[in-house]
Amino acid sequence: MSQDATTPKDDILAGEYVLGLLSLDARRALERRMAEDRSFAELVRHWEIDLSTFNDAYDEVSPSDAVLGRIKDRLFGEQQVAKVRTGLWNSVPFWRWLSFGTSVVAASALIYASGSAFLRVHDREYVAELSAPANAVNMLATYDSGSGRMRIMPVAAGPREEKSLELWLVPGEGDPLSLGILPADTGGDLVIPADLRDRIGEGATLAVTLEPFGGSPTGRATGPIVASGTARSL
Amino acid sequence: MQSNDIEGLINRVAIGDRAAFLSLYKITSPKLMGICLRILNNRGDAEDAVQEVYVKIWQRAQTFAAGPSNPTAWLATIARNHAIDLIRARKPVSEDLEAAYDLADETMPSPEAQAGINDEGRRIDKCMAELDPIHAGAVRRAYVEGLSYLELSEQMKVPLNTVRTWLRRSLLKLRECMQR
Repeated sequence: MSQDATTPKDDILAGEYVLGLLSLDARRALERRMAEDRSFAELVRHWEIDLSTFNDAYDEVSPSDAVLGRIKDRLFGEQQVAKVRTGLWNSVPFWRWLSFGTSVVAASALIYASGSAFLRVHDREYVAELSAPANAVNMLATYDSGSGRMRIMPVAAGPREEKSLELWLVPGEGDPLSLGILPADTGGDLVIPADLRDRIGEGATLAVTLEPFGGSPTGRATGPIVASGTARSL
Repeated sequence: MQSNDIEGLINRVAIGDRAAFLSLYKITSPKLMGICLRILNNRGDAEDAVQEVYVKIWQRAQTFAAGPSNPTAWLATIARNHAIDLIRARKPVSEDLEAAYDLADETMPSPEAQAGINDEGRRIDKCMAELDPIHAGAVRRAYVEGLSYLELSEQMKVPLNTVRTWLRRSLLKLRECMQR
């Protein structure tokens, strides 16, 4: 843990911040510093823990029941999405209640993409963006309350102009074969080239890589594998 | 509050577990409400603050680092910071970060990174007892009530610079004492 960049004055400043003595401007300035200066952030964290016994002075007071209702509305409120299949990139409600291992989710998404799963557009569809910090890939879940069908598809994080997700069939020997680019706008549907369809079945290994927009320029996977898995029949 | 239980709940909230979030709310909201109420001094404002605090908890649970970090302190910090930000926004105080630093020449060892962090709560009580009782009272009031230097100076009826010196000197002594 490096402390070399901080001085006694910094330690006092960190303590003043934690005590809550400073102005709003000063607090914001120190929070910006914490984001960039790990040593200083560590000083603050120390004071937070050191002084936390003072929290015993706070009496417990139950908030009124309405408060939890308002929080639930804010965080989990049913958000109807009129057109699930368009404009997802622009307005994805943050309806996040799932978290899977990336590869598991991607693998199931790929099975949907290659199989006959078909998501009808009903009156009530929901969409959730599943994400984690510093991931190259997010998952987009759409849920049809009429059929109970959930579909999960991977999408490249960040502006879509920058990257594409490319699906590969990984044979036992030889180079992976591109099955195409995972489109963001069409609900994860991908039409597999006719000459490759026979090769996708029970036990086929599928992988997704992050490629430049439009797909690998070389015909071979160039980007990192973001997910891989083996197809099983449903 | 059982620290282990709360830590487990926060970790489940981090992966989007709504049931865990509701349990966490049930167990911890009276304490966080108490914090907001003490600092904001108004029940309606405190309830609004609690609402924002739990939205932040839901959003930030992934940043909660298990290990030396103390789950109840982590929750309390979110609530205190939110309430203090609100009260500072409402009653702005001018503050010069560089004001009157007469302590900078005094030497102070760097904090040990991780050592004995779980004991520090008990140690701070011992170290607080070594301070001048009036200064220790000012430190505690600043923390618990979220008072600015100006408010402390008004309420304790001592000049602003005096309060500032008390608090900074107290922080310095506390840090030295905690290092022993």
